[in-house]
Amino acid sequence: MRIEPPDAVTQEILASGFKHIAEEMAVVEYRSSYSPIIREMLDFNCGIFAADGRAIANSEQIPAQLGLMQFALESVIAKWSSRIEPDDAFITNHPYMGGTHTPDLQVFIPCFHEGTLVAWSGSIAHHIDIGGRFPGTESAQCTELFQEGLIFPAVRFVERGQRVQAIYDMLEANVRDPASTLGDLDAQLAACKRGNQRLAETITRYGLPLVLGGFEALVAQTARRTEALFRSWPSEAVEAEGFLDDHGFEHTAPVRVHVRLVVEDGTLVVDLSGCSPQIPSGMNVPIASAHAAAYFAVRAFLGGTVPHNAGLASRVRLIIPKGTLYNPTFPAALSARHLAVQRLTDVIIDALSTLLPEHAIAGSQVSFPALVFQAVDPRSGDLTLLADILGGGGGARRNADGDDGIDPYTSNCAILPVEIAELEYPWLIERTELVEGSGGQGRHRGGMGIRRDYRLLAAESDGMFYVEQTNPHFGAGGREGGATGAPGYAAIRRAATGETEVVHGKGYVTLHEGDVLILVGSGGGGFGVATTGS
Amino acid sequence: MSRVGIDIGGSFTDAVLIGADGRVHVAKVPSQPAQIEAAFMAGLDSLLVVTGESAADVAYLAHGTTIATNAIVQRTFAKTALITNAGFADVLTIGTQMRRNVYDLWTPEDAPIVPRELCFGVGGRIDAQGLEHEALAEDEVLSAAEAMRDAGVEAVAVMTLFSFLNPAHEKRIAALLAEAMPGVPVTLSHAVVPEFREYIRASTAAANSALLPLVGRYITALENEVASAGIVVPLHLMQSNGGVTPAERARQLPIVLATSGPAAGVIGGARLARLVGEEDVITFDMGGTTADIGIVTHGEAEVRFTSEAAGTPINLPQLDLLCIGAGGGSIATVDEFGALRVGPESAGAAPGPAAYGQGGMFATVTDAHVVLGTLSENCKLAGRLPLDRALALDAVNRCVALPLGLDSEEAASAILRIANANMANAVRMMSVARGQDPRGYALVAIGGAGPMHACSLADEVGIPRIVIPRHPGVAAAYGLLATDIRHDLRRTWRRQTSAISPAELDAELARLEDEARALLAYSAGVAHGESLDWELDLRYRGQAYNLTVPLGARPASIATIRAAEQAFVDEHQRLYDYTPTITDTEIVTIRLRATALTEPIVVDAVGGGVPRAATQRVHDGVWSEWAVHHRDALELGDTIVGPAIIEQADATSVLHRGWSAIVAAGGTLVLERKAEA
Repeated sequence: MRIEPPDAVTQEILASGFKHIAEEMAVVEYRSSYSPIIREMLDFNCGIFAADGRAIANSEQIPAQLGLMQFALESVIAKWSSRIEPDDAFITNHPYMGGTHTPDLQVFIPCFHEGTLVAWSGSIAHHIDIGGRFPGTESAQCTELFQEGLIFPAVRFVERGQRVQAIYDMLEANVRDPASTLGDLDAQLAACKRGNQRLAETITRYGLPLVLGGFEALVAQTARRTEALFRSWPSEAVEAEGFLDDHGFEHTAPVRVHVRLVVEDGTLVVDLSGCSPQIPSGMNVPIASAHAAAYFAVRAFLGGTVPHNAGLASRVRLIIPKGTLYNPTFPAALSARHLAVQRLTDVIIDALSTLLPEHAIAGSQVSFPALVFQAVDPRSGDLTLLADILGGGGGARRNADGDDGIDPYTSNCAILPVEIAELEYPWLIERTELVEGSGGQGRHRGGMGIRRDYRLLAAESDGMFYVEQTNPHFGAGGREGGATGAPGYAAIRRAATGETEVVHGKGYVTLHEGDVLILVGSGGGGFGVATTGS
Repeated sequence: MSRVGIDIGGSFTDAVLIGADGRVHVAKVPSQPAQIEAAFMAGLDSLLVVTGESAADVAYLAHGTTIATNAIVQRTFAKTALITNAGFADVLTIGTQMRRNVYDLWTPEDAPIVPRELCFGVGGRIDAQGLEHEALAEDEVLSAAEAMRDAGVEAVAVMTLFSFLNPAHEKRIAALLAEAMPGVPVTLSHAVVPEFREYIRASTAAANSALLPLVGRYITALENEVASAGIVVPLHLMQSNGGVTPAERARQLPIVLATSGPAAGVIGGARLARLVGEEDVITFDMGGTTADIGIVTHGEAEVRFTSEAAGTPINLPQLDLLCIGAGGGSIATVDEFGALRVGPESAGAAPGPAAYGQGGMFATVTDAHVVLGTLSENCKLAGRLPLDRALALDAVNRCVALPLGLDSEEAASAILRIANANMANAVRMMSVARGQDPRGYALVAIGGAGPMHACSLADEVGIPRIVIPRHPGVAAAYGLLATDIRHDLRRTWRRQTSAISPAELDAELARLEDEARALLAYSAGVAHGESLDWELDLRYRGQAYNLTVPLGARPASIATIRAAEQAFVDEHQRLYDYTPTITDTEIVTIRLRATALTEPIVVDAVGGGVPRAATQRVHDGVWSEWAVHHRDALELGDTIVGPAIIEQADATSVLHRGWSAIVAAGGTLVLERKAEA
């Protein structure tokens, strides 16, 4: 394919056009989506990619989903190569083929121009359930991948514009909320088609050689920009460590997360060799998600001028030995990967705060309280799946307190509105409030965590919940003398006894009518020494 | 009898008077931020002097104000408190728990409008069926009132869970507050936003409450001035939804004024385009700092139902427009990696573009025009300083040409190409991303800078026709007079579409209609007819994002419900290119748009000026002489072939090669791309 380098001004116009295409795809996906994880929590992303799978532009809904689609697309390309046809669509979620965890379905459709594959449009979205052992699929309690629902190993599910009905039938039969899953898959396909339409229009307007030249120039320019910024950083190596409470099962040992960062020849090397070996639970992290954590932390410290594409990725190199927490060996379970992703982000930000003290920031909470419970709503007789995610305290800054009640770092999910929880699910929310005193003290205090109490109105419900960072030793770290944030916790008040019992932070339980599940997010770390008397 | 519109902006107050003969008179006076009513009266007086009319001749008076907008931007709110359910007092602080900019760890999130210490939780719950689950703890309301009094609270917002189903607790709280703290204005969330989602209902009520004292005082002062000047008609104010509302309503619901300025531009542009028969238009309102893009299909501007003010979400209908940081003052920069950016930073009015000679050091869009000759040093714009080409050239060379290795003209062209591309992306977001093909629309260019960029923008997105109103710089003031009195009412009403009883639906419609009739009564003296337009928000069962579709006139019937459902299916297909696997639909919200029509406007605004035969040197790839016309001298039917410049006091129009213009009804310029020779 002939490539024509655009002049500098045309390049800017093409680059903003590519970004705009990704954003328009996201609008299509969001507005026609079903499950609350997408529609209320925006846990999805859209992007366009070069023919060889390199990322060109992204819509940037949630950082945890950013910068990892190229791993999955590479698997699609490697598997199908010359057999890819116009109007095909591929679906993949295999964590060991570049995917993340199984509920994240990635859809890719090729963009052809005059018979040649020239680009791809793609979408990743977190579906509410993809089957498996637990409602909502993800759980720290899983012990192997096969408990984590349906696996799509880069499958062609639309062939030359024709749906492969067998795949849809199997999907429908294997998930707990097929209406949402099928609806969201429709929305993902519609978003990708919109991306291809806009790419085709761009090619018509500028000609293919110039558009391909625009891809290359954008990637090269981003790589140059990233490299120059890294070269301006101190060249010494820095380290940081942190711990997950346990393996996910009660009375198991803390799990070490360690990073060593150093800029070498304009590339940032993120060495995770000091991390724990893989663990026998669902809290391992697929290699693609480990990259998303690193990209997020690094981009934040690069200062917002570096777009996400293959150019950035080419200047951040992760070293992750096989068989460890962030590069587990098949078939290790990893559906609850997000806890270790957030902790890794926190540890990298800790290291970067040491490397670049003028930008130092206290640790934000990584407790990530979440739940998925299934229950039959007595009002309608329908099976419902309640999902929710709570925020906690943000880290304090040199000049300001931490934010109260946020879902930090690579995550940015909305809390479920009380009125939606009570209208659509058989639950009563007894309270949603900030926890006084949970932010670490300091010259500036850390943000406060959120507490929410869920009372079951149906006869019975089973589901999973988790709250990480319940160990007070592993609370959100203070900086320059600021105190650690208070830990989070989970508790259950049984209607039968009226007694409230703090429970292990990761569980799968059955509740009965009137029982209350209490989830509490941890507080953020403080910054600077608190002045006495304040 | 004449009609007067007065639009108060940050720098200037634009006043428009349309006489019974259709002649349009325009006045521009400086705004006086310290004493807003004074500029209002000055604008009014100068019009009456010119036309020789008396205040008693004014048959209609409409006003656009930025008082609410500015209060929101500057957060000059009244000291506001919130009362909500016990256990939920942090509803405003927690919000959605989402961060505005996820990569910026260092900037704190916006503080809520009500500080945490003024948020009070009181016992009592209404459940999801609208039934009382727990009685209201009235003693807790009273102790909250006491604490508020001690804190010097000036306004109160009340939001209780499920008040949109059963407002009993909110109403009782209001009654208790009226006794405990008389004279302190109160906003009840169900009255402002009768829909589910507690946070946005609370934040909308809080924003409204925080504006009540300020806007209330302003409206009262203005009404007194107007009355003592001898004007007898009721004052109407422009709202964010593109219609005007009587002063009495704005006093209770000041949040409807929040984005009235840009809305007036969209409506003004759309109604002025109607003079030349255009019903499908994209409005392009470009000023010194921003460009606002709106879309109007079949004469109706698109409306959206959520927006943002002071960092908190607002749930009220407003015209859907996209505002981007691209204006005449937008600054061009080249970073250390050779990337050229234009905007969103603006040189504003002071120091302004380098060419103003007020010390502006940055190259702006205006400077690029000066370098390329599209803005000449001789061009005198209202209220603007003379332009200095040497200063513009220096800024463009220093800031753009030198770092990029371009010559001056190439650099100036690059600035305009980037600015045009940014605006083209915004036009695509407002049209193609919403399933509309811009090639079927006309571009209405308004604002001081809109007519300069219209041809380039139309070329970029493939729009075949451009409309430039007679006075593009005061289109918003015109919009005040051209629009109708409008009240948007709605109510959450969730039902499976297939299971609806038409009688039950119609009873709900009747209740909304009663509410609407009460509001329309305020404007009885100036209305020339009414219309009630019903709409339903529908979605496929399980979806969260609704589409709003028309519902036929009352009484509701199986047929009108079916037709609405079909309209939804068609619209979903059009917007998203697919119909989902699950095809059950549900109704979420009933909407009523109640309109009192104002008198239709006849405009006659052609000719009268002195022709000025002139040319100026302009660069559009090469330097050449372009014809310069004076807008005031153009007569109906005159044709101008591009390239040409058309000057007038409030804006300069640039007619590129390949375009030609004809002077049509009302003095409007209609530009079309010439067929290829």
